[in-house]
Amino acid sequence: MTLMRSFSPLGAVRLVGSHRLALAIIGVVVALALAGILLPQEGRMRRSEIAAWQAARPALTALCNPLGLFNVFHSKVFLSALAVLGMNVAACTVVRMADVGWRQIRAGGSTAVRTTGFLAIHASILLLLGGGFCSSGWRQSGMLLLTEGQEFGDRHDEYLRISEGPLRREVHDRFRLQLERVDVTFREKRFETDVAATVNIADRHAPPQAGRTVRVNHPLSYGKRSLTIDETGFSPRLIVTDARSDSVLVDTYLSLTTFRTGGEREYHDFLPLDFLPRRVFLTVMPDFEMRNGVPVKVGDDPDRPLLVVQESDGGDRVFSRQFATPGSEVTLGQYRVRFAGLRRWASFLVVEDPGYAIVYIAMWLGVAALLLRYLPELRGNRPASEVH
Amino acid sequence: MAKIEAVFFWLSVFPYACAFFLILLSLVLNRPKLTSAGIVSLWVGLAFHSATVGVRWISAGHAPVTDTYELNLIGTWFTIAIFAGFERWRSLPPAVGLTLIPVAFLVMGHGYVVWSAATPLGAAYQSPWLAVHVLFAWFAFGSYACATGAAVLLLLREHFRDWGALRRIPESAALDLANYRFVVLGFVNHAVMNVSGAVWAKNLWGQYWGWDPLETWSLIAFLTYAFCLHARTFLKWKMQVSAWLTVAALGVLAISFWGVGLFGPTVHPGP
Repeated sequence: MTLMRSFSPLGAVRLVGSHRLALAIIGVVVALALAGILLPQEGRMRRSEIAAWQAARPALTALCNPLGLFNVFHSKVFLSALAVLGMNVAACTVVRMADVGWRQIRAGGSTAVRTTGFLAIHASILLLLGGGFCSSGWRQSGMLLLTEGQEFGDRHDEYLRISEGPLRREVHDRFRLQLERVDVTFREKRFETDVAATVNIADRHAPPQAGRTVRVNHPLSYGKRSLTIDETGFSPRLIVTDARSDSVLVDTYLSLTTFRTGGEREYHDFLPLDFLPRRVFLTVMPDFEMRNGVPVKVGDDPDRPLLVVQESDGGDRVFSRQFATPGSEVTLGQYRVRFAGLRRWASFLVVEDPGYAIVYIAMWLGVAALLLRYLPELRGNRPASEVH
Repeated sequence: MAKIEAVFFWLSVFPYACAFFLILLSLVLNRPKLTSAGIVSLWVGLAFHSATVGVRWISAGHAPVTDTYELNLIGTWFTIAIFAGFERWRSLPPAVGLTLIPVAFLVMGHGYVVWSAATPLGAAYQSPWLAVHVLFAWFAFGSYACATGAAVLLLLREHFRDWGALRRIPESAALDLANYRFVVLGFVNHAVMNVSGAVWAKNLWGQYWGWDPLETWSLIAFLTYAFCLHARTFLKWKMQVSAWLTVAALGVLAISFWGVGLFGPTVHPGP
């Protein structure tokens, strides 16, 4: 009987909304975030790298693994901490407003301003957590790569990678994207100052649009999707013929990977043709000049492109190194490889994120609320902690 | 470094050094007029510092916000400008400069050591959110630095009560209030920095938050300052406790500017 009398719903709400719990949970979130920085994380490192790290530290791994600290931001521990934070914020707001809040607002003056700010800050935090939850649960994000002229048909295997939140069913509804052209502006031949892709886009839910531009920092919104440019590179057109029969075995644009080291870019990849006698490594130099008989890349605009074809054993042993300008060819055993042209490729991130609008509103509400809450202090009034 | 830029750079360092020593001597020798001279020297240094920023801006063709040297240069400009402005118009104790100016030296010196030639603004930086994000980042850092300056003075005053020179700086209560107000100012600016960064990230990378190490550490710094404010309001942690929290929080913030790269690659091209 005594126990029942001493427990009340408001008492429980006060407990959940206590300031000490708030400070403790902030500490827990900070500690988990620190773990997310200090420990290798899935999605940021390759699994083989994480496995090697874990093998070198078995005791620490045994401690961290059960808590999900190697994927901490998607772990139950972290999500639980955020859930407790949300409950704490909601509870402390209810308690404060029930105790004194509404009276303070009605009374007016700087206290009313502070209290309104307090209410708005905590509402924005709840909105932020809600928007983040929507993003985590329902967001779909896919990376695709297109060479100029190529079209994408929204099949699962056409994406380089695709991920969706656990609450979202992966849907392919025949969203079509064709890349017309990629324009990259360089200054001083190597500083990339603008990247724009012209695309034609269509899906079942919105009218098709042709000639739309996607620019770095200026995503294209189409229906529920947004398209951002991720990276660009070069796709040399390669025609591989059998020299004995003169038959064309391969006629394709091969997208070479773009590597960025410091401020420099390089464009390489392996030629994935099993019938060639040795491993062939391709490099495109968009603009080159010869120095002491060796070609050197001097720019990233394709003013004077060169294809470098290198045969190796896959390691350090190089068997041959040949060069081809557009229209010329090299010989690899019984095969001829013709460098028939050069196009650009662009990779795009296609995102549907139902949580972003909520988060956007929450963030700016939070900023306005902070100003409201702390404006009296910034104007020189006594801090709230010394007023009551 | 371009000659004229180097000239202005060193012309700003010298008056800052003079300002530091004049304010210090003023306290030690109890000569208030030396403080005034120190503040004048500080403003002279700030003028040359502004010229350095201007020269770099012109030579780069854009605001100096892309590499470590530029960020350190403009960051220290904001720190000194905020201190000088509040000293002039809001009666901030000049003695706070004794802690701020050496920090500015270190940061400017680090920038000088890692100096690199100006480069055109990359495509990723061609966004109006760059100006918002960086501006509020440096307002936040400058405010937090001023808060830490007041906090350090408070701690020195409390721990070395017998030092005559320290008795001439304002009362601990005034320093505590200055600490709090600058933390509040920094916190609001920090919030705008985070929000503008998230909007910029959504436009640039397709996602507003990716738990990138620099983003995460910025959040940690933000939550650390939130902890400071909450602890003061609800646990009544003031004076020395609050001062120690502010000093620790600046350490956390400093890592988010200069140390996060040590923990692994980040997509954010920070300092």
